[in-house]
Amino acid sequence: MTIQEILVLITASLILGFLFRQTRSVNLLLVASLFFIYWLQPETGLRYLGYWLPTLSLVIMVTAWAVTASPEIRTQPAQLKTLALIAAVLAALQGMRLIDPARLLETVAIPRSLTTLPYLALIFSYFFAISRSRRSIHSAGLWAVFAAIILIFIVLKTPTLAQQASRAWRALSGQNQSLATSAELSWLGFSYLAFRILHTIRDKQAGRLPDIALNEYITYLVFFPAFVAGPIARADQFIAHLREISGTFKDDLIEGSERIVIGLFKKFVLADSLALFALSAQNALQPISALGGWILLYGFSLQIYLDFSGYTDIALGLGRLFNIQLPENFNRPYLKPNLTQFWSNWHMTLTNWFRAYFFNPISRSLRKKKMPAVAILFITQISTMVLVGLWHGVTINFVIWGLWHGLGLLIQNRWSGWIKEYFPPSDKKWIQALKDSAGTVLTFNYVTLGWIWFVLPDPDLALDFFKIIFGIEI
Amino acid sequence: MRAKINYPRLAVKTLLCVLLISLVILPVVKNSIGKLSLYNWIIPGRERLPFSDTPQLAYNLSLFNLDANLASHAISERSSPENEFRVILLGDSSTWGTLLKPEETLAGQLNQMELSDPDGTPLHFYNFGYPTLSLTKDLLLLERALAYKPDLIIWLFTLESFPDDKQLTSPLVENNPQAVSALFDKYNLDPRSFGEEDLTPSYWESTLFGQRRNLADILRLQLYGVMWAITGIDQYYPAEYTGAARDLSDEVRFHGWEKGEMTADQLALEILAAGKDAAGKTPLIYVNEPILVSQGENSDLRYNFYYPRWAYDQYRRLMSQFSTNQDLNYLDYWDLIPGEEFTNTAIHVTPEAVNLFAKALAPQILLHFNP
Repeated sequence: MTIQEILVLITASLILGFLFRQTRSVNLLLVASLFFIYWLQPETGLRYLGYWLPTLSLVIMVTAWAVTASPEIRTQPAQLKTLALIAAVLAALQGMRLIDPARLLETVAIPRSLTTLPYLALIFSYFFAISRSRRSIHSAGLWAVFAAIILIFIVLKTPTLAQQASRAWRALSGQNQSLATSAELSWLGFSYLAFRILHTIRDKQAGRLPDIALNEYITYLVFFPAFVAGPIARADQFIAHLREISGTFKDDLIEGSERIVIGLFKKFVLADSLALFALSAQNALQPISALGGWILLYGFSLQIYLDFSGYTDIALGLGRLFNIQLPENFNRPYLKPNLTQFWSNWHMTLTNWFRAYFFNPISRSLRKKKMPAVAILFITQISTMVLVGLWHGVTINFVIWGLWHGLGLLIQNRWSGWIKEYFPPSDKKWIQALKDSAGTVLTFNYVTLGWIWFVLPDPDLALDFFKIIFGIEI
Repeated sequence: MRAKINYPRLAVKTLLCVLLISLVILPVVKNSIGKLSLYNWIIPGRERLPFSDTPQLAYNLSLFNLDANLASHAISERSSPENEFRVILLGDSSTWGTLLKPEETLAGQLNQMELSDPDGTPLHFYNFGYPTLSLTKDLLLLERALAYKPDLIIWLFTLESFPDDKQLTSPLVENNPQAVSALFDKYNLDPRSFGEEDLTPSYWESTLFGQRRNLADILRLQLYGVMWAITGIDQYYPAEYTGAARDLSDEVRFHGWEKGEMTADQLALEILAAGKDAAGKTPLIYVNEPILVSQGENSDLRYNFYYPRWAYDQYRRLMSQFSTNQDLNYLDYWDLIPGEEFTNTAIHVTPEAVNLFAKALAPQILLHFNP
């Protein structure tokens, strides 16, 4: 996001946050968030895809709500009001074509009403039908939505599939297919949307999901401060904040503003400055010395942290203006003395998501099969971290990055056990401090070296960069 | 427990701080802020002045603060020139070295020739070329170059830098109105002859708001310096580029002048004379740099994209007369370089051509150190 976009979000949050406190209207947040998903969605070379992707997000969200809500909630008249509100937002977007010729409220390009009307009529008929259905959704329905989201995810994150999808869209819209690229299929916020939906489906299957109205559900999924870069809040906690306002607006304003200012400083001063000399595919082979390579690498390591945690600070601050306490995502991860603690403090909501919905279930399942503890640890840690890697993109380098961390966690786990056996923790504080400091340096450098696989697009380039920083001739 | 904040007082204090910084501190420090530089301290100085339209690819950028430009140059590293003879090369993009690596530029290749005086004191060549064609821009840099106590200045130019309408359009000149105004006053030059009434900067240009771009550029220059130090790259070298035009139009006007209309009054020759005044006792060699002599379509009418034949021939005659009248040390290398050695314009050349030029220029330079 640009600084201009963030300033618009801050201004909107100040006004809407104040109004939300006065009116306690979830619909206010719903309307604002829906507008912003169209406003923030980047335009690509694919004609009107920028409009249809957020619209498809709407279809997915309403479907996901329908399969997770009980028939009693689903058929309440309030849900119809929410559908009417969604229809009004889409109508307003159409209206903007006419009332905002200067495109001051510029969203994505909106197709002509006559073109969109039949599709929107179909979509709302579908919304109406599922919201009136009194039938309980079977487990198969939940799994179907789950599978559909995973499928979309795979297409978006696999460059060759994304390019094919882009080609297909070009064919449909009569554009030149030979110009199709995977980058064109840019669906803003889909990753976080997917994680939140999958979380509600799995919690529904486990019987942990509370009853949620449609307007609350969609607001949870696309709450605009956290839409682009997270964090991934838990639905039950988010809804509780939404329903229960506490403290004063003045307190929220002070706390929120402080967090926003910190976030802006981290992102737009520190991270953007570091970006000028951070490792990238463009500069990876350009250093004339090993030291130069290390500077690029440390530059990237700090930049990615400050960039991401800066966005999180801004999101948390904006959320606070609505009296919504979004979960923390970073807790000084680079100062942790081992890799396990690093991952417990880096992108914490993502780590917790994978722990809850992949690592723990797989571990339980393997334990039932009476496998040796080391084998269970090997399988679960490697597969979890590879999956985290694949979430960033289905490429060899992200798989290697996942393996790097999976193996690192495994080695650290074994090493910790061994060292405790032969060198029990010392009572002397300075010895412990020394051990922690050494651990921090080692962990930071291990994580930093791992970023090479993350930031460079192919293994050969990554290996060449490893050679540069270790002074080996390419 | 959070201390209670008095918001009205906080707002007043903030406003006072902003006013203090913008209206008092910044005007005081703005004349020296460009001198604060990481270059030649923790980052090696640049071999040529910073310039680029593609900063993210070139690890370089164009900025207008003269102090910051010079502070980033390697010449600022050495405070005492006692162990070398300093030769400063002024000029346009061909001297700066478009499409050339720092070591391939004229200054770079002259340095590689390891020239020295009869006593063995080495000559060190410094590239003060700066892209954009304007003699006023060159004079501005010449004035600043004198602070580095050069033993010889070589000023390279081409006709396109001479017309009056080119004098104040270089961004470096446009964005330094105070310095240019002082320069014009000092050498009795009249900005009105170049189409400008007043070169005095406005009040707002000296405030924090007016200086925001300047300050941001100075900061970015320092950050790009890290990449310069790591990679040695200060220019984007495209894999392919469009070559200089060899087939030319049949247009014979030059800057709106019909054939034969161009006179000495219409060229900024007085800037060259001001350069001689500015240099004082420091010897100054004026060099008409090589141009592409095209062999393509309409080459009987024009030498290249820039010049109709009549205009360039007339310019060379005028320069010859002017240098004789003013007793300038003037060298003309206009047709030194074969046509195939020009790259993307009629004045940019290959490293091999620069080498040829350096070899032609070296004996003339040595004459000044071995009279």
